[in-house]
Amino acid sequence: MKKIILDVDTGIDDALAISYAVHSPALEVLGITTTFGNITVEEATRNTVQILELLGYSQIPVYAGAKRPLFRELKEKAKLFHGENGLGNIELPPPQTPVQKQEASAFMIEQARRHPGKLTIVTVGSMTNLAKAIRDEPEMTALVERVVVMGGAVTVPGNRTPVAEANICADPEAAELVFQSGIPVTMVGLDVTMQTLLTREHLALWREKGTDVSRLFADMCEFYMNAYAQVGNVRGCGLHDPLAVGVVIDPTFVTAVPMHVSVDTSGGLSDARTIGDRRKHPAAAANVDVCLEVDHERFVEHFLQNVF
Amino acid sequence: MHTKKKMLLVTGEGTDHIPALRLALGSPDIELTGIVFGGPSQTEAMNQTRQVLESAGQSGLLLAQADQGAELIVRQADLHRGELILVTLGPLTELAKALHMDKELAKKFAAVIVKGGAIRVPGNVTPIAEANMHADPEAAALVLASKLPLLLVPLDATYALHMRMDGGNSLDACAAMMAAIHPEIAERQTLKISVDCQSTLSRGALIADLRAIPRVGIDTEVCLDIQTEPVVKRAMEVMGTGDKQ
Repeated sequence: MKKIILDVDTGIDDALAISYAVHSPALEVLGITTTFGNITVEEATRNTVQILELLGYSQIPVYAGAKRPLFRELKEKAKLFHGENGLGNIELPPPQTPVQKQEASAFMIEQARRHPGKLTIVTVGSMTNLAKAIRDEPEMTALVERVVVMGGAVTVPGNRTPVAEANICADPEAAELVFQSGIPVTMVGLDVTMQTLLTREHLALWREKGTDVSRLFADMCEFYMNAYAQVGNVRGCGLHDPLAVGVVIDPTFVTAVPMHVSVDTSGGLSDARTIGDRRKHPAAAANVDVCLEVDHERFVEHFLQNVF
Repeated sequence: MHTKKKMLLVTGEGTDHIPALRLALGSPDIELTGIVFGGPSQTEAMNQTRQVLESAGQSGLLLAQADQGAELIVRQADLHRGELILVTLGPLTELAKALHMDKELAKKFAAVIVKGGAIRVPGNVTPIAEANMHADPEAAALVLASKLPLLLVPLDATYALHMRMDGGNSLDACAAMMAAIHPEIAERQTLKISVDCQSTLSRGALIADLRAIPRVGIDTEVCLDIQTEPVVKRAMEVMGTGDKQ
C-alpha cells in the first residue's frame, strides 16, 4: 500500500478524489490536509469532515492548513463551479468529528520524517501547505517519495485565464516554490484531466444505484456539470482531482514527460501559467514530470468501479 | 492588362529574408515596391539583397535602413493607398512607429502579413516566445490593437513544414511570403490574441484564448496551418535545399 497525504480544498471533485482514495486498496490515507482554493480553508475543512463522515471514514484525521496564499491576498472563491458551500449547495449533516490540532504543513513534515522515501503527497488545491512544509523543512525534498499535483496546463488552455489553471492561480508563488525545490513532482494538469470526463450518463447510473452516497454525489456532480456547460464544456465535467489520485494508484494511466516547468508570477496576463520548456533543446534541466497523455477509458472505468 | 499586387517588405535581422525575397521577385502577381531593413548593422543583408535585386533587374528598388523604415512605410501606404500588401518578417518596431506617425495608416493597406509568434507550438527564444514578438512585444501589442487588415503567421503554420525540409527562419519567411502571394493556401481563423509585455518569464509570448468560450484578447486573423506541398515546392526552388523525404 502506498502511504499518501491528500491535500484538498473540498470542492466537488475533491470530494470525489477523497472517496476514490479512501476506497482504494492500493492506498493508505495517513491524513487529509486542507487548504483554500475553490473555497476558504474553514469551508474546506468542514466539507472534508462531512464527506469522510458520509463515507464512514471519520477515523482518517483531518488537518486544517493555510488560510491564504504565501504572499498574496485571498482571491474570491469558485462559487460558479462548487456552489456557495463548496459542495454544489448540497446540505450534509453538521460535522461531528473534531479536527486535529496540528497544522497541515507540520503534519506533512512529521509524516515525511516518519516514512522517509515512502510518502506520496497529493495536492489537489492551492500548493501553499506543501510550500510551507518545504520552506520549514528543506529536507522534505529528499524525504518525500513524490508529489502528485493536480494543477497547471502546459499544452492546453487554462480554466481560470487563457493560460492559467485554477489551483496554480490560487497561489502561484507556492507552486513555483514547490516546482523549483527539487522535490520529485508529477504534474496532473488540464492537459490530461480535461480528457477524463464524467458524463450525465454516469450520474444516471449513480442515481440508479440508489445509495445515499451515490445519490448525493450525483446531485453534487450535476451542479458541477451545469457550471461546466456555462463555460462551454457540455459533454461533462473534468475528473481533475480524482485523476491525481488515480496516477498514484496506477501510474500507467498516464504518460508523463520530464520537462522544465516554471510558474509565471508576474501578476499580469500570463500570471500562474505553468510554462513547460518543450523545445528540442531546453534551456534548463527537467524538474517536473508533466502528464501529457491519459488512457482515459481505462482510468474512468477504474474510477467508477472504485469511487464508492 | 494583368494587374500586379504591390508589396512592401520589412525584413528581420540577417539574411533570412533572401529566399522569401526571391519568391516575391519570381512571382508574376507581385510588384515589389520597396524593402525596409528591420534590424541594426545590416551591411551584409543589404549587400546580398542588392545582388538578388540586380539579378532580377530591379536594382532601382527603394531600400530603407531601419531608422527610415517607418517613413517609407507611411509614404508607400499613401502612394499605393488601398493596394499595398505589407509583409513583415522581423520585429514590428518600424510598423508600430509608422502607426504612431500616421493615425490613419491602418486603413491604407490591402493586407498586412506578419510572421511572428508561437501559439500551440514552443517558442524559439524562450519556451513560449518567438523571436519577432520577443524582440519588441510593445510594438507587437500596438500592431495587434491597430485594426490593420492583419494575418498573423506564427510558428504553428510552419511546424509541419519543418518536418519536411531544413530551413529555419528562412523557411518560416517563405511560408509567410507564400501566404501573402497566394492567400488561398493559408488556412485562416479568428482568435482572441494578446502579447505579454509585462512578465519576465512570459515576455513576448503570444497568448491566444483557446478556451471553449474565449474572452480575453483582440480578435485577430491567424494562419495556424498552411498547405505544405506548394510551400515545399517553391521554398526548395529558392532555398536550394532538398526535401527530407
